[in-house]
Amino acid sequence: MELLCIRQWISGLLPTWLSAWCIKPVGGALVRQEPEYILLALMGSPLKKIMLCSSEKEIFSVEEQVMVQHSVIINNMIEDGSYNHEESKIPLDCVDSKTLKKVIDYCTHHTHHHNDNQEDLEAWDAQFLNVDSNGLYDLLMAANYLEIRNLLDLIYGTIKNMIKGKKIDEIRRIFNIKDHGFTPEEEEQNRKEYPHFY
Amino acid sequence: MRGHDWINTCLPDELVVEIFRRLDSKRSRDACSLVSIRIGATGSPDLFVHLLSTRFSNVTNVHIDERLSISLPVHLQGRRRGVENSSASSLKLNYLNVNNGSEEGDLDSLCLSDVGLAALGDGFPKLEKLSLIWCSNVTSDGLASLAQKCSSLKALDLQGCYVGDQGLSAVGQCCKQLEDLNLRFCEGLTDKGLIELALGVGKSLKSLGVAACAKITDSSMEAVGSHCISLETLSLDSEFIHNQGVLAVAEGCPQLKVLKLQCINVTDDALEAVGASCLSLELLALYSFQRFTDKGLCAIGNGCKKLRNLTLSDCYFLSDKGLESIATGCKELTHLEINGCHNIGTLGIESVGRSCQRLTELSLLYCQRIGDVGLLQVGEGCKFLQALHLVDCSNLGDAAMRGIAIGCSNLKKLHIRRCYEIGTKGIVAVGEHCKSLTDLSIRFCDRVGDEALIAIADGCSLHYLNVSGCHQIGDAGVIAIARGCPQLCYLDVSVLQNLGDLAMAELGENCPLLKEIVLSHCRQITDVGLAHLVKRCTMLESCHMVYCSGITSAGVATVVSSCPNIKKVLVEKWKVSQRTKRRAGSIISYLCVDL
Repeated sequence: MELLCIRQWISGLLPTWLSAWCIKPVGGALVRQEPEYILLALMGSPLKKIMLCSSEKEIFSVEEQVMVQHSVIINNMIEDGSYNHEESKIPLDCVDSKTLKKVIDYCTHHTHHHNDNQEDLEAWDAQFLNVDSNGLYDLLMAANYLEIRNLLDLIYGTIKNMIKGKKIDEIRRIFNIKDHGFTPEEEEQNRKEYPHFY
Repeated sequence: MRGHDWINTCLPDELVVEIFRRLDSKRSRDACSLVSIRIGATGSPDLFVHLLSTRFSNVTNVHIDERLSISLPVHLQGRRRGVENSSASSLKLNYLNVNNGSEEGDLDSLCLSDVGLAALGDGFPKLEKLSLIWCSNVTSDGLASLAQKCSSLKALDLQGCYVGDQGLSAVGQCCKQLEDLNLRFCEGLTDKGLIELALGVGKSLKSLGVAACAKITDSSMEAVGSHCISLETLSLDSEFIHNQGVLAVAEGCPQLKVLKLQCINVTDDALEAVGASCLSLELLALYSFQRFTDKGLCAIGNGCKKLRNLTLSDCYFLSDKGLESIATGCKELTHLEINGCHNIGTLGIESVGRSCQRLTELSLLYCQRIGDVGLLQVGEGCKFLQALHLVDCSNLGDAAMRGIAIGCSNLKKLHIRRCYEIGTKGIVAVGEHCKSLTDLSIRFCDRVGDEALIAIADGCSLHYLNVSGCHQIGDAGVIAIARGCPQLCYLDVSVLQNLGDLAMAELGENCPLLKEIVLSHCRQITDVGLAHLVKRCTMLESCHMVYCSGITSAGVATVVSSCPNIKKVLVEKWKVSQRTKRRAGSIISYLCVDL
């Protein structure tokens, strides 16, 4: 059945109890979902693929279910009908190929391995985030844009650990901050007032 | 690959806040605030205020609003070293209050505290105006320290702050030049504080506003009446104030010029006292379901002969009789607003038209009982009318419009919303007769078509046009406007389904001064039309284009890159590419769709 027919059919016939079921986790948050999507899932198209296009115009094909479960933005795009399965790809001009591949890896792993035990998952996450500072930034911006909350929390956790307990000079070195913006007088004053931070 | 300083230069403010939120020790947060000025400003208001006070010593106005999201004052971004004292006199800081309760750790250092306020006092001793909006961490101590340092304070605005009586007392003792006090949602303040302040600054206080402060009662008003002999403006929004309080001020403050009341427990007795004692009254505003009747309004009409400005909002018991006595008694009336007073009808407006010859602004909102005859009389009598607002007046039609157009040739501003009987004929009459019209808004009047805009374009040189929801209007009308109104700087054509790229191109060609445009819900406008528009309209500052299915991310990118002065773009999030985001920074607002 064509998607349009499904929508029309459902809006007429769907009982309210099924609407209540239309809640699923997306990227860690609970989100209401259009009923016809559940029906499509029930009709057995869980392996439907979508195309994501990086800023370098490279196309990545990935299971729709995987991305929809993690990224609020992609979930919204598919739900509000602006994504047509037959023709279009989702342009992600904000994300380069290398980062997009990593994001897809993350979402795919977490979908397929969500029943694994906590330690294994954490180990995998730690290995996943073993990247340099630039790579971390790219992942952070991509996760923020795509609204993938689990990945965001993970990245913030890593950044927090990079900052916690470190001296300011070290933090500046880790994050490559060369121009901190304070005037020489202000910097000197700060160092005098809070010597234990430096 | 060489390292790149992204946390300081590229990371958006909201994400810097997210990082701060996850630092669960004060030590980490304090250290982080000193890493760079940008991080410190975003995460730590107290420190930032201290820094500002050393850099800008001539500041006289400070406005801190913790409801809004973070934005670093533009002139502080990208500061180079060695900047000398700036000549800036006014600072406006918006901070996100992140006390959401359920987060781990102590988040208090993310809001301005007493320490920060004291630093403000130290740093800006010449402070004259201070506004603290929803700064929930500030208490009496902070305000008292500031008061002691800033004896030149002239105006204080506290909204949603938990400051207590001692703070206000301190202001009363130290700031003897205080002229203006505004208190809103100050749950910690009681009569004691306000009475002590009235005692302290009674001679200088000119303006007082009290809204939603549950513990301030008639006792405070009695003190104001006794001590504040120079009081000119009083604005009260409280169910805890009764006739007694208003009477005390009316009798004690003979110089009262402005009185605004939203107090459901105040009745005609208070108005009678005002009519008897406040002979200098120039502005009276009565809001929301008051118990006033014609008796009170007649007292005002008899006594306040200098009344210029009257607002009656949701006063159900007032009728034509009361309005008539105002009209005949207050010949100096220039501004009249009637909002939702369902017992006022045609007769009342007729008497205004006959007697108030100096009327310059008339607003009739939700007045379904007013008919054409009323406005015809206004057209005949009020030759100096400059502004007319009509909302939901379903009994007004083309005859009324014609009467106004012919009679009020000085009309500059006409705003009509949801008056379904007004159609093309009425607006054509306006175009033919109101040569001074610069501001026209006809919203959701579905009987108005292209010919109306053609007539307007012919006769008036508009600066401001809003035709949102008048779905009969299409390219022909807007093209005529583009050609006839080269001074146009604001245009709202939202919800016009028949409007297309031709009109956009014409606007680009002919309206170079365009600053703000709203195109939302215009299905037929595409990237092509948008490109033609922005190519020539280089002064564009704001563009709203949500629900425009013909516009893509390419169009959005074109707007951002072609308009050097662009300050606000409202569009769906997924239509914004990373390059556009980098270029545009914080000016893009996204449409939030609730699921």
